[in-house]
Amino acid sequence: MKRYIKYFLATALTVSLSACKDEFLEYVPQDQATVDGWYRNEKEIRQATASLYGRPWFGFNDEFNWLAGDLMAGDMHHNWDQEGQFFYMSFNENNSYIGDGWQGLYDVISYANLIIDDMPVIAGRYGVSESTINAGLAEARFMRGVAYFLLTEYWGEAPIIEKPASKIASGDLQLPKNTTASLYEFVRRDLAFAADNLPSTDEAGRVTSWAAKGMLAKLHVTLGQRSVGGSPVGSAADFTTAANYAADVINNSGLTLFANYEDMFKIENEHNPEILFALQWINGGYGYGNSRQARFARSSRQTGDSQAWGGGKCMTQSFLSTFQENAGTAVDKRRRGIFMQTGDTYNYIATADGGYKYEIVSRDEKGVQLEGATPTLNSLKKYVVGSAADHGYVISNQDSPLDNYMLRLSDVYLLYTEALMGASNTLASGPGLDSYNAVRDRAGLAPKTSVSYVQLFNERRIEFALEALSWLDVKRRYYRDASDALAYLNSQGRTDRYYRINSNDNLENDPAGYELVPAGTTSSHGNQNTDPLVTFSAAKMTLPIPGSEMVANPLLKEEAVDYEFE
Amino acid sequence: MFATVALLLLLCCNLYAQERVITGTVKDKSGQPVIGTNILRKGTATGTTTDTNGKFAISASDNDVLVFTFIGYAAQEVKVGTQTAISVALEEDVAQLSEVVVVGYGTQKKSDLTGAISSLAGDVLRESVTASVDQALLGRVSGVQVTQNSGQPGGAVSIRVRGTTSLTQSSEPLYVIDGIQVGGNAQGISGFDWQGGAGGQQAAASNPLASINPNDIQSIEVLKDASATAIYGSRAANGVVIITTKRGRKGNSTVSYNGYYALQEVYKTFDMMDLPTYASYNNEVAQEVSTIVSNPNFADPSLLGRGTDWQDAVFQVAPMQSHTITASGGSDGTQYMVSGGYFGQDGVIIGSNFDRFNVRTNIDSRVREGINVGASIALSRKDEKITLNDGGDGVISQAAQMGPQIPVKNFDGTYAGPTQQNGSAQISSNPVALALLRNNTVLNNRIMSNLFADVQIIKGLKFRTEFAVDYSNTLNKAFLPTYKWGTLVNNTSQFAQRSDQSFFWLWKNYLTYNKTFGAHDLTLLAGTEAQKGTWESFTAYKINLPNDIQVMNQGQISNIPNTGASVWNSLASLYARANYGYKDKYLLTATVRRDGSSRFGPNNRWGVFPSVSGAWRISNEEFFPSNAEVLTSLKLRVGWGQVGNQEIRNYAFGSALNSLNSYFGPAVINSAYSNPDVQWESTSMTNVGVDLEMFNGRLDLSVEAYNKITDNLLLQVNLPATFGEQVAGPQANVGSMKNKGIEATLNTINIDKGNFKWTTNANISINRNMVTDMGGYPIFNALYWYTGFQTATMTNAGYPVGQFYGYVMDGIFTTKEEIQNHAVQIPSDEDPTKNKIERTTGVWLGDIKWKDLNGDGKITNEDQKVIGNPNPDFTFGFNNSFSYGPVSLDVFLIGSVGGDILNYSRARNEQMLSNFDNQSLTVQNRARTQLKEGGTDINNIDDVELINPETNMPRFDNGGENFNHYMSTRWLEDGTYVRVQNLRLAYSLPSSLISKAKISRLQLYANIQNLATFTNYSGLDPQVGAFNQSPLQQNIDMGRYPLPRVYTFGVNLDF
Repeated sequence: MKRYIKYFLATALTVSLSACKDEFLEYVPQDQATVDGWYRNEKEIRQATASLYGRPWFGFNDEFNWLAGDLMAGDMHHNWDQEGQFFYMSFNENNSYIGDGWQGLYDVISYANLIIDDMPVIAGRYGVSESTINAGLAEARFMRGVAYFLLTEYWGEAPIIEKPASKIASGDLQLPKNTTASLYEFVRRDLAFAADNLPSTDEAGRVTSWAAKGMLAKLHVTLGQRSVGGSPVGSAADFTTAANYAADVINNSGLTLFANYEDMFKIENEHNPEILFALQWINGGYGYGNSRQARFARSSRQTGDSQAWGGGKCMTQSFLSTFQENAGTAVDKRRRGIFMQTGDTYNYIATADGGYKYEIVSRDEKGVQLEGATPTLNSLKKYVVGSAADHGYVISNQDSPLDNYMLRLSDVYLLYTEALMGASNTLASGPGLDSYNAVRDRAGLAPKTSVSYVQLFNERRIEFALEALSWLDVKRRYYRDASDALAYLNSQGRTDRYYRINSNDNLENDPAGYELVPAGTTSSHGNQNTDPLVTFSAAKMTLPIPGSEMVANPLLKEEAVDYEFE
Repeated sequence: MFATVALLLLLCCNLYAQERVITGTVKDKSGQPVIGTNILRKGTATGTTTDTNGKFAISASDNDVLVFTFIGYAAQEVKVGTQTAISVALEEDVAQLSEVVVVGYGTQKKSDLTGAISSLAGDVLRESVTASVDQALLGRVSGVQVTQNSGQPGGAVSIRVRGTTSLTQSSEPLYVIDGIQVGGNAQGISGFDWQGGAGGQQAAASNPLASINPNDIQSIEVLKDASATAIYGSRAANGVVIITTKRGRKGNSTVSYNGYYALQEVYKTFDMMDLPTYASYNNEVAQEVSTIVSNPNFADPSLLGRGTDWQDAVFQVAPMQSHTITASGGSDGTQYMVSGGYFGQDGVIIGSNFDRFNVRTNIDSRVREGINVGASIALSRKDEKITLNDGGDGVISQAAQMGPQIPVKNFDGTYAGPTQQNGSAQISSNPVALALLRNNTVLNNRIMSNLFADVQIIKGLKFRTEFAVDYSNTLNKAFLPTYKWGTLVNNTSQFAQRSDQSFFWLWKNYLTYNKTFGAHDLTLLAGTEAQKGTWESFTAYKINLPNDIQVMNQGQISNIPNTGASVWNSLASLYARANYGYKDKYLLTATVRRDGSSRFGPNNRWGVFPSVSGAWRISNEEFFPSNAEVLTSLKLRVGWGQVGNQEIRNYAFGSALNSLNSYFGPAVINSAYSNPDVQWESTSMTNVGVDLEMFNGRLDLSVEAYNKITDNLLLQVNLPATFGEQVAGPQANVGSMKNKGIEATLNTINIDKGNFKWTTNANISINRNMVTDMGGYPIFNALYWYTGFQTATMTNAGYPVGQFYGYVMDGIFTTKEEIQNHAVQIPSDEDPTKNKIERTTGVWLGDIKWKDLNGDGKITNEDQKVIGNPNPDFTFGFNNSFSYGPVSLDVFLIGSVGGDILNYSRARNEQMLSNFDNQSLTVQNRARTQLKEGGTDINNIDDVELINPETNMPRFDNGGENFNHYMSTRWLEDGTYVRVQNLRLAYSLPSSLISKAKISRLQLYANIQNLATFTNYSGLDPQVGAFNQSPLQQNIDMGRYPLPRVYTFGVNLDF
């Protein structure tokens, strides 16, 4: 017996000691690829860059993008809590959406940076060709450039972060803001690299050199407007550069305007030849899709689920006025694509009910109110696509597959006009006027023989309504002429709204039953609009850096410094 | 020499005395035969044992004394005299039972301990009526803080042994259940986030200890100081809780039944508005804010009924029951304990419940001389139904805030809902429907099995090998039905199902050598251990299932991709321990463990954890008066040791890519920044303890003091947003933290006279936590998005962990002058050095006045500070037991003094951000303005005044520009409480009555748990716990599932 105790002991000890060998403890992920083992070929590089088109943008796009892009510009009426602070311009640095926007853009930047830093080194090790590496690099730099451009337009100054991993390793986490000039230059380099190294055609949805050139046109128009306003950043030559990029895109890309504006915002048309750059959403769960429908849709009647938080949202009276004025006596075909109003029926939404018919107030058969009157008697349409019964996609997780368009050809058309107009106030001839008229033509509006700066501005306000570009246009107008832009913003009357004239009559569904009461006034029927007039000052033209960031990084309070380019 | 001769003479005398055969029976108190009792002729080596009927026969003479011994019973001596038949009734010896304490990898006599170990008998635990044992530790052990994070049946518990040891990693102790190591981290439950049930639902995570039947437990030992825990090395930094289950004993076969039936009820609800009050409130608000349109149905509140009491609709009186049958016994060769149990608890919130079945077999058997084998095999199955309860969109919050004008159901029997949609993001939905229809279930099957063999190699040298397996599979289902609740419609049902499989094995081998030479007593232990856990999970989604069938074969493929995970981790260890005692006066223990962990990269894979401790039994010294009446025993203990923490995510030392779906097909994205040098978090602890016993055991006091320093804190670096927050920060070793404290345990026998006995157990724990270094990067924690708080807690050097951080409220503005003269809260457009006085977007009468802490004339982020501390000054437990013959009464009090609570429930109920939410009755007293005499314009500050300037409740302001609802002192409350945790009355029927039915013991008892709570806290329950078990977010009440009051009637029956 003693003997087998010995054997037993010996075996037990040997086996258990062998567990102490390092193989037993060496961890290699089983459910993840490792960075060092990736980037072996073009396919793997493109699988990495593919991630940059959707998920990383969600934090920025979910709310901040329209709160800042549409609400702040005075196009959308919405006054609820911290969201509504963008409408009233009453936020401070603690507004959580300010944090979401800032952080959301840096999310995009950080993911792009990791590819930019890791991929060329590792792919090079695996012998991937330089052109393939550069094409991948160009995609990542395009995204980074766009994100920094948006940061610059909203915040003016912000830290430029490159090579985050090595900064983290050395504990170099607190970085100062960089100057606006540095930021624009950084953006320019990223976009120029992308323009040089991206292919001119690619699979649908991927950015091409044309997208980069379109963005460069926007960057240089912005710089040109700055120079008009007397800023040392940018020069008149930027208009020429912008015009050249725009002309190149317009003449050589082979892209065309999509014939039907409203149909462009249907899921099946998301890859139409007008789109240069769009966030490529998929119907794949929360965070992977376009949440605009959940944010904008008026009610469950449109979405078929409870995610319909647009019951109180509508276009401002200010936007409606601009819209009327721009269309004149003609019917602007874009309207149904932007907002819904009494008399509209959308036969492709709520198809099971025979289409969605817009009523100011809707009730079910028992008289229970389902939808109430919005402040300006209309509701948002763009990016609202309906329920699964209408298009087959179950988008109950805020995940509409419809892409968010970041750069359309019509944008480049109008940038071309703006670039060629330059510092002057009108453009009366040439390809810049033609491109402007091409946009109007699609809208069903008569061509003009000359276009003024304000007309061009208004055209853009309508053409890109609810596409979160409006504030960037306001910013360019502000760069060009600060007092003109402030006067425009301060005279909008964005808080004007409608009230029932007599709540006991039977006109709740008739615009005639309502009256418009400007902010701060009382109507003859006793309706008092105590909402304040919204006022802008120079200080409000850039957003505050989120408070939590300032606490975590005191360097952000200091003067911005020039970035040292490598 | 003389002694030897005397002894020989004595022996000779005995030899010549006349011997005869004595027979008899040995029984226990209840009259059951005690099989295997040792009977020895005193002073000789001759003896015998009782047979299976408890009978014995032995040769002895008149002068002999027979000694009867059996483990667990007091030895008895009987002089033979002229008797020929001797019957003995053995008495259980409680002192002897508690004398041996389970330590890691062995047992030790309590008197030999040098470290800080608290031991608790299973009977004490069972005085509390709980689903899981960790809940029963509440208030029982000094130095151990227990908070139940949720009152949900089977909900998770947070246990802190001597304070919070780690910041971003788990601070839960290591559990060792019959030799199987189990982490204390609650298992997260999928489905909530996906169903839109975001914030706080993780607190509802399932409790890992809920699969053990409390009735099976023999004892629990809590290893508190590093010298006691060092043998568990890298998993020991948070303390170790050793749970030992009952085992069979030779002879003495018993069958027992333990069962109870209980009713639970909530004893407190929020005071919300009824319908007429709510209607008046809405009417007033529509007057106050022009963008709010008045509801025509509320025109005359006096015509309205009381409306729906939603809390009444979701809370119920809920039953709970437990039944366990245990059989145990054994022969000389084999002993067994088998048990089967059922536990069922309905939640006090409708739609929640918890069921558990347990089967256990514990066997010990001698296979050869010197070789023993055994097994502990436990199977459990628990089935939980979890409502969306805690958290902002959970049933409790919704029940508080749902408008009283909405009925629970429509006339046609369908669930009702809001009739008019809120202007924007709103999450209100019928909480009754939410509780009953949005199904979340967790089904867990688990096998925990430990096999062992003990081999005696030579005298004093023992080899033991143990192989343990912990296999668990969990099925978690979450369902969102189709519905039409008022204007809220959902046409697509969704279903998620997650399956988790985990398999853990552990193999340990160790040698123990024990030798006494002269006055020296030495025990050596050395061994190896390898353990590996693998975990694999899979989540699948379906849509368009029928509402009443929730199985994966139904419905259609969802657009949400299925997900999965597969990870493992391993640990290899070598360990050794030496216990040395000299003359029972000086005791020394030294331990060392070396652990290698798969969590760390090649640079820092191995860690060494040493400890040493000593004790001096002063009362055994010659100079100590041997017949002292007052101080009968005195022991001093001192120890130091270093233990580790390795609980970081896998592969933190390398960079990995997550897969994700994109428009272009499968894509990859970086998951985290790596840190190849990440290493062990290490905690060193010094412990000093005094154990004293007075009046021959009538008073027992242990006092301990400790100083615990954690270095190389494993922190997930909180990167500035500029580094992107989606890419997880690297795991770094940054900073250090201190915990020091004093704890005391006092056991007294106050009265022991005749039939009456009164005993007291009291314990108190005082811990002071301090973060001493964070590498310059404080951690600010916000709550979930719906709170709107940018920060709620801050953890930073120089402060205890998890400090509440925010603004300081300084009353409300009552006059225009006050606004003008106060620091700028909202700058005026014209003059940013002045407050903007404007009703909608500026500062107005009734807004909160924030304190300008830095005196710069404006209210900014820098006017935030630490405004509260969630860590209590001290906690205590105080138990008194009275027994009079067969009747006993236990009164158990627990308490916590000094911790602050962030009452976010109240923040929801008083924040007045939307007129669509019902609010607390206190909101009636909000600041309200009226036109002054002669005033005409309610928008003109000069025309208005406050109706109630004395109020401290700010005005209704749905724009929230002044941040009246922000994180501030407004929401903090003192969390001090004293609670009558248990009141238990038990009666044991006299044996004369029950012995006829072959029953040896029949005890009936009634218990009221959570009988009364004395506190100033305004929320439902001051025992709040940690949000998501996070040490950085303690005492945050998000609308937590309240602990119910429980009325129990139970029976303990032994055959």
